[in-house]
Formats: sequence, C-alpha cells, structure tokens
Amino acid sequence: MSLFSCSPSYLKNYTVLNNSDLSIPTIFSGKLSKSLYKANLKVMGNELSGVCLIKKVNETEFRLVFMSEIGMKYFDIGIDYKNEKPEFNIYYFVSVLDRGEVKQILMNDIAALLNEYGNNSKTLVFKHNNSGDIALKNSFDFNNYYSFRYSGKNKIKNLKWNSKPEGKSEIYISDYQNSLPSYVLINNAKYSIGFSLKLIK
Amino acid sequence: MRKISILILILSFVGFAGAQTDLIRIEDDTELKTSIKEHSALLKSIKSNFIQEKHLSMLEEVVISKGKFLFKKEDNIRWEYDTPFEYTIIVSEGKFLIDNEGKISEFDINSNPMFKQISNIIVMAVSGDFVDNNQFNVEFFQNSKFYLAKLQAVNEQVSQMLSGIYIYFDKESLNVVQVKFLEPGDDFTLIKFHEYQQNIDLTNSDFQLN
Repeated sequence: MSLFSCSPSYLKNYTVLNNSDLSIPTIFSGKLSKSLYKANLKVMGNELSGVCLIKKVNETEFRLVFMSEIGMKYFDIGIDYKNEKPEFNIYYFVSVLDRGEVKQILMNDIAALLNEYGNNSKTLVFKHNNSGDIALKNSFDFNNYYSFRYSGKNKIKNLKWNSKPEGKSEIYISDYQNSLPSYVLINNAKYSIGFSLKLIK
Repeated sequence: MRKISILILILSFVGFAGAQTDLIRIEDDTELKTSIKEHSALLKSIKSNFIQEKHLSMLEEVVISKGKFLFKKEDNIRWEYDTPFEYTIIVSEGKFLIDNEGKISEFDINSNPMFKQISNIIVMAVSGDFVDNNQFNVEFFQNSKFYLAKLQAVNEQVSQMLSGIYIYFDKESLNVVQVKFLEPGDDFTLIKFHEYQQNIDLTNSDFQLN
C-alpha cells in the first residue's frame, strides 16, 4: 500500500489537528524493557497456549519468545526497527506454524504491537468531530497504522492497519498496569489468527 | 529480599554447574542399569513439588514456574502449575485434560502424536523407565551426589525438538531429582523436584479436574 493511498473508513468523522503539541503515545510508549505474558494463539481453529517473554535487547531491537507452559518453544523472533522497515530475525519457528502467510502475518502483527514509530515514521494527529477523541495515523514501511486513544487518556486502546500480505489486523488493549498493556488481543479475521497476551509481570 | 533471592538463584546455578563439571562417565553401566530397572519396577506413584527453569541462553533469561506433580503407574500424570500462572495438564485414561486458567479442554491422546510423544517422554524421564527403551541411546555419568543418564532420541523428529534429555538420580535413593530437556541451540528446561514422595496412595480423583 502506498503512503499516499486513500485512508479506509478508520478515520471517518475525524479531522486532522495541525500543530498539535500532544505527546504521541504508542502501545508500550517506550516503557518496555522486559515483560512476561500468559499467551494464547489461535490459528484457524487450533489453539496454542503458553507464556510469552518480550525483551528490549538494545535501542532498536526487541526479542519475543512464545513457549508452552512446559517450556517448549513455539517461536523465537527478533524485530529490529533501526531501518525504514522492521528487520526480522527468526531464531526458531515450530513447523506447525511455519507455513505460508500465517507466519508472515503473525510476525508483521507483532511488529505493529512493538513499534515505537521513531524517526522512520510520520505521525498525524486527528480529533473526532463529535466526541473529541484522539486518533493517530503513523505511516511506516509503506503502510498506515491507525491508533485510537482511550477517551481522555494518553493511552492506546486500539490499533488498526492493513496487514501484510493481506487482510486487516487489529490490536485491542483492554487495560494498562504500570504503563504496560495488561491485556492485549491481536486479531486478523481473514486468517482467523488471534494472539492474546495477559500480563504476568 | 530481592537481592537475597537473586543471590540464592546465582548460588544454586553455581552449585548445580559445579555439581555437573565433576561428572565422570561410567564405562561399565550394567550394575547401575539393573538397579535403575529394579527401582523403576517398584515405583508405583510420585507426589512432588517442582521448580521449572526455562533457560533462554541468548536472552540471558530464566523463566521460572512452580507447581505440583503427580504420577501414578502406568501412565497417569498431573502437572499443575500455580506460579506465576495457573495451568494444569492431566494425562489419564488415554485423554489429555487441560485447565488453562479456568478454561477446560479435553482431547484424545492419540489425536496429537506430538503431545503423545511428549507425555511418553515425561513418564519415561520421571519414572526412570528408559533402560530397555530402544528409542533412546543412553550414557551414564556420576559424581558424589548424582547418577546422570544422558538420553539422545533415535527418532529424528524427536531429536529435532529435543537434542538431549538428562535425568539426574539421587545416588542413595535412586529417585529422579532433576530432569533437563535440551533443545537444539543452548536453550534448555530444567525441572527440579522437591518434597518428593513415592509410592503413596493416589486416587483416580487426583487425575481429574476439580
């Protein structure tokens, strides 16, 4: 998708705010150094459960390991945002998930979750014409990511984008604890992929 | 308090690493194999607490979970985690029962070959019932505290998942005190048993979800 393509209906009834001095939040807002989540992954009717360790390993790179409760790894990936598009390092991917577009969507969706939209992105701020709610449009890696804030709070509750290679993906955050999202659901309806994360520590 | 916990953790790793470095290979393992077989044959049940350490070497992280383990011959297992999450797996009467934070699921053990394989490996490891198992090559080692059996799967599919299984036996009691599941690369899962009891009465209800 082009950076200048028409927006989908995500920002209907929103107006762009010029010269906004709003501090721009992201899902983790730079607060993540290391977190452990209870995790569930649903892929086309199949379900895998376990724990997910997310760690910031340097200024631009995150590592995410999803493993079963008994310790068997499902996948172990690194995502580096130092360039204009995220670079993936795949350390391990269990064969049942290592197929076709599922793997690609999963990695790109996780990349959207952890993205802090640094110097490589362009951000526009929007305000809803009636409610006054704030939305953000981040353009990154030739794609647009639409974030919606909790009403009156500088926290993201929802992120929507056109997933790669296809379909629409969304992230819902139902709560925050100590500035970290305590419940996250990443969802891609087209491929019936749902990845939920519940904060342990 | 946190500093003390970290210190204890570091010391336990140092102690464990130290305990492993002096391990010497047992060339003639005939007598030990007979003893392990006899011990395994007499084993009817196990009730133990466990600490599971998932070592992620490149991340220099250890994910620790704790819980309770029950085993009753022939192949009934209850693997119950209570910290830092609640999760229970029961293997009994040809079925897997899972309680994932209150969400119950059940499926036939034969419907998932990988789970069946894992279940068999866990039973084999904790009961010490591997001596005549031709699915694994075994080498024995010892130091002053442990006998160590290093198992390597013959099956390529299993060896791609687990590069080795190390089973540590207490030298006096021959009880399994630790099991280490090694993955290709340097990551591994270490399960340490404590407050270990064997051959106590366990009922069928211990292998049901409440």
